[in-house]
Amino acid sequence: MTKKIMIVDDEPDTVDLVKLVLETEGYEISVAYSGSEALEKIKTEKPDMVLLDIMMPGMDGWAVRTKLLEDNETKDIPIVILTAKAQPIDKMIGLHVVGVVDYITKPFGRRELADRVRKVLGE
Amino acid sequence: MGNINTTIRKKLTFGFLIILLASFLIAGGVGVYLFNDVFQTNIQDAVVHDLDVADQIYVYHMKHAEDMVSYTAGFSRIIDPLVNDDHEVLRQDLVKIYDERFYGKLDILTVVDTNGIVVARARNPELYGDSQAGNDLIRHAMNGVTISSTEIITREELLKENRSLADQAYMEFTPTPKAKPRPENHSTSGMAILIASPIYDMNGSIIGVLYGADLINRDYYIVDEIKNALYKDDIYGGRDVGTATIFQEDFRISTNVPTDTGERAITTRVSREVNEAVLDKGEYWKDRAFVVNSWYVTAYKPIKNIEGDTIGILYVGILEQPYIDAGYRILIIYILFLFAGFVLSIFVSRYYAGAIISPINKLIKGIESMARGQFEKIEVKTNDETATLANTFNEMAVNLQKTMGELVLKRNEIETIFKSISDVASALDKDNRIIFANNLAQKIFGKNINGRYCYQVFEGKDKICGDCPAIESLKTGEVVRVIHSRMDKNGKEYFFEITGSPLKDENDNVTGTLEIRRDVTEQKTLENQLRESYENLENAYKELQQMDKIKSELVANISHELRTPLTAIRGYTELMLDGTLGNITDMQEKSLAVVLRNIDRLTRLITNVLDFSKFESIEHEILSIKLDSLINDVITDFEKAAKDKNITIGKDIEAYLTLDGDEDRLVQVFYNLLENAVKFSDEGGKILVKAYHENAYHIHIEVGDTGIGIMEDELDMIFERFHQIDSSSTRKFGGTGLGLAICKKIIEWHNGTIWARSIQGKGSVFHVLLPVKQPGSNS
Repeated sequence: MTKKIMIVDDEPDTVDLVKLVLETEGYEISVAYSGSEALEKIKTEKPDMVLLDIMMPGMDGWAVRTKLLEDNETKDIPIVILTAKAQPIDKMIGLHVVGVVDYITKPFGRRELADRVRKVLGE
Repeated sequence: MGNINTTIRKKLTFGFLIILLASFLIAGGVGVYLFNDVFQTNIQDAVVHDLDVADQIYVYHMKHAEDMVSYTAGFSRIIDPLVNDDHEVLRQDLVKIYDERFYGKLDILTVVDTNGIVVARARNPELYGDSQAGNDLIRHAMNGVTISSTEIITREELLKENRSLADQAYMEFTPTPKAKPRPENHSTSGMAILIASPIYDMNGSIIGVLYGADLINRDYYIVDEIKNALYKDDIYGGRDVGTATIFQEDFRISTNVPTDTGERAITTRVSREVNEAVLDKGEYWKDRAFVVNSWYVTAYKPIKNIEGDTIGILYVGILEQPYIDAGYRILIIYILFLFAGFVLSIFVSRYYAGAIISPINKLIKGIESMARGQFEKIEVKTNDETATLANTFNEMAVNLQKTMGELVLKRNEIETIFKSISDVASALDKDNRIIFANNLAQKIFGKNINGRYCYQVFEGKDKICGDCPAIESLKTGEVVRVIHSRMDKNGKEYFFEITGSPLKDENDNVTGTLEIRRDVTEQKTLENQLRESYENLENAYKELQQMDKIKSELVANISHELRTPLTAIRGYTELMLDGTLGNITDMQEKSLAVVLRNIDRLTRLITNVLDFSKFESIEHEILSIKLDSLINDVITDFEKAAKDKNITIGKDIEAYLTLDGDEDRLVQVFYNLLENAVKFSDEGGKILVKAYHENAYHIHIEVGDTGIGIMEDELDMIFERFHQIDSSSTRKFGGTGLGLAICKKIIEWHNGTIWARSIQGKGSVFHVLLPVKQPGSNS
């Protein structure tokens, strides 16, 4: 069964790129362009994992992650951060404080992204 | 001075007298005790002994009478007429015999026949024929025994023997206060020594008894004999010292104890005490006793008749008065000695006081002259404590003189210092009055400022300054410093620094202050300027810091913003390059590879810029690092890259290189250095990494390569930001131009140094020197 991945990013170019890369890899992709949209869609679509940007207008990635954790239905969905914030401190917050499964910095290599997604989905 | 003399003299005299008095009192006490107890006991014992002698005299007297009577009983002038019954002749002869031999010795001489019938009486020849058979002594004599004893003879019998004997025996008692009362006031009987001796005929048969008697009443022969034998003519105060008395029952019948009028005190009676002891109980009695009219040391013993009944008393006594008077005489002599001792001790103590005082006076004189400031040696030649005191005093004087000399020297020194202080200096008392002012103070404020208040003189005020440092210093005992400002007439402001320092006495009590006033106007102006510049500088620095912070944030934001478009660019380039978006020509592929490489370079550049600007604001973790394994790990990471370029990496790394530092940052440094070395080395080149202890405190790391090398004048600049030797090398080798700048920053943050040595065309060596310990690190 095809795994469904949700991409959350306010940048359409980035969304398209990631979508292209992951569809090539054979995944079903769903997209959201803001934090609030992401929350809504994740609830209804129940993706197998979420690729989450941090710096978004309005609700940012941290807030989305926090909301997801509050809901029993969504709290176990694996989250991978995909962000331009390359500072070690952000990486640390992501991995150890809000408990995401991986932290990928932009710009990323195509293989790197594919490999890490596959790893998270346990394939 | 006079006081001390009299006091010591008085004390000594008093002391001597006390000792004397005490010893006399003790001796006196012992004397009184001895006199009262031992001496009197001895006298008493002597008197008891005398009584025994008296008794022997009495018995001797009795025996003598017995001998006389017994001898006379053998006279033929008595025997013959008695044998022949020629009684008339016997009577005549007996009177003759009595007159010849017994007159004045015996009072009775009588012959009885074997039936006890009186045959002849020498003192009363007319009376005979009466019976004396009831007489115990005669009955004994009838049995052939000559016997004698003291007996009471009734008036009736006395009258028979001789009328005058009854008169001699008759006594009317003289009332005696202490005597035991008796019903009658007179006695008619007498007490006599009675002797009976048997008369034998030629055949030895008893034919009669001769008996005699010596009446003791008013007969003083025995008592005087006793007195003479024992006491001779000891007279005291016109009186006999020793006395003897014979009592019939309890009254004196023969005595030499005198009455007040000097007569013999017969007819007086014995005291009740003696009466009961001797007469009633038949015992001896001894004590001092009041006899007739004086105190005697006495002894009494009973006189018994042949039946053993006590019928009288034999007494011996000596006057107590002489002994009492002797006691008084001793006492008087004693007192005289005491007085003499007192006088002597006064002289002796005066002498000793003089001997003690004279060196003390010398000492006092020495001390007095020292008090006047003259040091004189004291000569004391006695060989005692005073001499020691004098010597100690001399030593002290020498020391004191030395100390005084030192003090004067020190005072002069201090005075010189004080005078030459180039500020206004003054010593103040507790009330802020000037005690002493230095030359400058006198020059400015006038010569006669001593005794005036400091605020009047120096400040021109009429009351004490509110922030007076002298008062504060007095209170706290600390050095207090204040600044006073004052305007002159022209409106120029002057500043004075006033320092108050406590002046302390030897007990650390603050007794005044030293006040130093320094004109600090110039200094103050300078100071103000300096402070202003400093404040300006500080503000500038703060502004700069603020700007730097803003810059850092800006850089961070920009780097994020740059990454986002880079993401799309890189991603699509990659997709195109790997053919995901359709086939491309070789030329396109090469071009896209160049694009991709430059995108990566740009990404690194952004990362490095951020790192560099953020470096200060990141918190670094200092831990103990195993530097040898750290470098080995970094080398391992580059082995593949080196192999690709056919470069060999050699290493010469000491084991156990540990130091304090931020591990991630140091990894970054060596990563950078290795990266450069690999990057700048040509194919088949060699890299050598060394790490060793430069000394106990520093570790030296070298990374050498056989690369293109660096020009000498470039060597210092390669650690600057955005520097690479030239743009061509940038093109050739990639890199951001920030790497070595970051390395330098990290090494310097670790208090280390980094530099490079190079020969152009041959290669370079990068040196890092790191301290083993970081300040503030506890590892």
